[in-house]
Amino acid sequence: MLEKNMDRREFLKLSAKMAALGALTLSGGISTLAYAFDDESVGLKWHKAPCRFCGTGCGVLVGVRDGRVVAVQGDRHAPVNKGLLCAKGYHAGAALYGKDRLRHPMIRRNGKLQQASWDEAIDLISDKIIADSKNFAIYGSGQWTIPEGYTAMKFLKGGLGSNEIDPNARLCMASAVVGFVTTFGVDEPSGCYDDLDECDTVICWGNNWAEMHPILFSRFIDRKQFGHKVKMIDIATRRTRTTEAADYYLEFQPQTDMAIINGICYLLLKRGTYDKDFVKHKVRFKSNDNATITMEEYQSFLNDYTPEKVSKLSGVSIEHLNLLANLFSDPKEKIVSLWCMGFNQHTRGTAVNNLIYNLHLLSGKIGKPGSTAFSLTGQPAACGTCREVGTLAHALPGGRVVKDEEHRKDTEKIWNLKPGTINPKPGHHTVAMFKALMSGKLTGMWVQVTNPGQTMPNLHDNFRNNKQFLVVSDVYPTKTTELADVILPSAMWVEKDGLYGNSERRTHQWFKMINPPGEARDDKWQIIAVARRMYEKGFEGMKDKDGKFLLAIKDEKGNEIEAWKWEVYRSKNIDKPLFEDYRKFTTKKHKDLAPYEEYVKHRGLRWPVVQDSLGQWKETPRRFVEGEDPYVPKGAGIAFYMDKGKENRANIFARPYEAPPEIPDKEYPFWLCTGRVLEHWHSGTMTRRVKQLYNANPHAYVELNPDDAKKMGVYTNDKLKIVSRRGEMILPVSLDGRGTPQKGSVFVPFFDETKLINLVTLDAYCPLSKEPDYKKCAVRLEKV
Amino acid sequence: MKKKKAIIVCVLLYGLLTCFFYVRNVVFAKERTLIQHIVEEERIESRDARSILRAFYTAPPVVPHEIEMQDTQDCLRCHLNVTRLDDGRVAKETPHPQFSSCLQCHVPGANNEFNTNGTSWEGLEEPKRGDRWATMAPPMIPHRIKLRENCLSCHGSQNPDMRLRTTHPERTSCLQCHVPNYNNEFELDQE
Repeated sequence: MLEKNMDRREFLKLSAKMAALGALTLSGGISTLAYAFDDESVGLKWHKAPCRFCGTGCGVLVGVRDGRVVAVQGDRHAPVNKGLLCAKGYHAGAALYGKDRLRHPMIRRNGKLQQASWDEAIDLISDKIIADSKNFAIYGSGQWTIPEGYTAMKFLKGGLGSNEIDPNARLCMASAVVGFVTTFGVDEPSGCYDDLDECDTVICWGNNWAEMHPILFSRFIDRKQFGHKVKMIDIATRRTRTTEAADYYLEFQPQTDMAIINGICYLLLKRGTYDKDFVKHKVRFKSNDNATITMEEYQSFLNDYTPEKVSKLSGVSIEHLNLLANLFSDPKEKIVSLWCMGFNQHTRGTAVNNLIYNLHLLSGKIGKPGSTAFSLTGQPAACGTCREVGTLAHALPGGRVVKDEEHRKDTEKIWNLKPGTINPKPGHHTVAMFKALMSGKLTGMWVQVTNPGQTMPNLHDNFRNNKQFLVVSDVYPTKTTELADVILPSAMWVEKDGLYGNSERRTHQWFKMINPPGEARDDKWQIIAVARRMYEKGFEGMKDKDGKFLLAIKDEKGNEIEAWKWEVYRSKNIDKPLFEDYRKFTTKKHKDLAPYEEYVKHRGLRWPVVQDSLGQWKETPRRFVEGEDPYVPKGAGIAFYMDKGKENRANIFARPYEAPPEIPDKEYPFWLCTGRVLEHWHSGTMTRRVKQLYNANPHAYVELNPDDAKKMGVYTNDKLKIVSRRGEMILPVSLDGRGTPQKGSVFVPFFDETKLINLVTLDAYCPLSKEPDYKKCAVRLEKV
Repeated sequence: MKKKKAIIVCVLLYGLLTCFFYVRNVVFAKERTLIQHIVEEERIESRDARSILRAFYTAPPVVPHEIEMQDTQDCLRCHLNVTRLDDGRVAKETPHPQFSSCLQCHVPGANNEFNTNGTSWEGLEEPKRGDRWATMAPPMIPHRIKLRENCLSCHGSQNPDMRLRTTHPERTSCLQCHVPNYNNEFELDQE
């Protein structure tokens, strides 16, 4: 059905047959499962895909002519972005065509990288893994497509008998995950982007969405143009483009976000203006160490957070604290709280995620149209692949964990493994994984679709000292490929089939549209090929219970597809069978996905996607809400049905303010905060190869508060050396640019590989989520 | 007496108005003739000059000048209507004032450090002139209309680039004669 090289007549015949069978229904103008990829396409054709970059998950139409992408436009039928894109999205097509695309496998011989054949590379990798399979790690990414992450996961957890797999998403949304799991018993936001269309107020908690999630920002802020009475409150440590559009700017001292939220909760309880009915029926109170407590005990915990004390600690005025409390007290006010890395990259990341839910639960501002607490993500499949497939050191697919015997058994059954194959001991989380690699405890690592050589915190200790065997699959040379022993050239975005899952639980599908350059091949194929080579060499782990190949993929007739042969792989759609295999995992935590064909027809569907009585697959805009979520019992209104206490309640945690591990002192008097910019995506590997984006923001810089600059006598473009206890970096000064940090703090974007700010950053992390804090460490500034 | 005065005022007013319309028509006619004499090569020149600012047709143009304050309100100060600056430059009117977050699509592009050899990107070209059903028929709109709903922001008589101006700005209902060519709206081809 999904043969690529079918001719037009065959295709028409097939379409007719399908129509006759009535197997597929019309929706959004897409009616058949025709494989879009055609080697000899001439003339301009437009295909659908999600954007390659952030977690917003905009729908794009990709214009393909003569086997090349020539244009990208916003898809006006896409519910996320309604036809609009940001600068990165419009230029996503150009990111495929940097002249230094990796085209051939390379192997390091005598210290030099030399071109090699795929066969040699696969042989070498499979030998190295077989030599010490339990200590070989895979470091993956929130840019893995769902089938890619699933394949890597099955290869490692089902095949190598260890759990040494973790994604870069650990550095990005692990705190959000643990926050969700502890408060609601299940991961991922319950609200959706539609809430931005209906809310009265958006509160940005350390979140510069004007630059990081521009499409959502404009979706909200453009409502002002249409006369909607909406307001935005920006609570931050740095003035940004978001601040320019905000009605209020509340500047706080780093880390005191915890105290501010507790302070608002204190006011709500003291005034008695919390949602009493909601609190009585929908929540329970928990102490910091997870013991159930009474509301009175919680209230006495909050007595430490009087407005006076909070104001003194945080720098936010009592007037502004009252303003926030008033908003949350007003039962009619519809409030959306947004956050991203400000909360997540935090040494108390999980706690502060819990705290924001406390606030929304106490005020009952969750699960209602226009009211929610929404955690944004930065990668296109951080949700779809890392969180749902679960490519984490402790997880198994569909919300399962390796520690749970029943979960392991489930997984072994679906994967047809010998009982006891899956290791119950969680692997290393990202920072620990790199430390283990540096110390030689792990003897090899395969990095796919990410660039830890630029993005790990404290790069000296966590990447640069590597002496172990390193395989890197990427599309361009990066700071990571510099240290690689084997470089594998990968296919990117529309050069392969894929599925991504965005922040609002929306799963997107796309078909391959063009061929990858040179010998570049899919990441998923690379894993299958290595697995097969290991199987052929007799490695036991690559056999299932019946001695058959672990990663065997069957077509619809049940015949095995020899996917490890590139010529076979490239002529088939492997995503469909893999996705159908993965789907079996998704019902346990009620994250049900629809069959692959449904995603072909739609511009993404938000899970749980459940068949209704008429057989139609229905998505769920808001989770836990009756009438929207099919798992909410009738008459319940809002039910947190994944509650581990089985009472349909969410937890309110008494999480105290705790000071950060490194605070500016005499020797290192400034805070350093790192982050992103609109034009570049993360480490800039793709966006810095697009002329328009490069020119818009060519190099990293250090932003200073003008008062600090005046005191130091530095001006824009002067050079400053930023020194921390871990490393240093020289950067040009930017004053009154797009951001202005508060006094005593500096900001540096991390996109520029020529100016690695992560040599300076701290690798301290949240004890629960293990996510490091890139937003706070102490530095000294020296004039150069 | 009063009547006389009133008549004089009326006559004067009439005279003034006549003069005004006469001058206006002369100017208009002059402009119209100028526009009518623009040849195809000049139009192509104009199109190419504009397309330099885009990675491909349908991509948002980059901002061709330096930006100091990176605030959207500052963009609209000049670009909400046509603004003529002291140094002779003319800021064009935005065709989509309903979108207020300008810099999320239009990135600064005055900086030109990027080595163009670094990419083999070849984007979709700008369209040619619109088709006509017959010689005297009004041409169809050759480009898509998305984000270009306000025709006069480019084709109005305020546009400093005369090669784009309409010969008949007094007719304000553009879409009544010039129909969009929906082939240019670029819809999904997945059947």
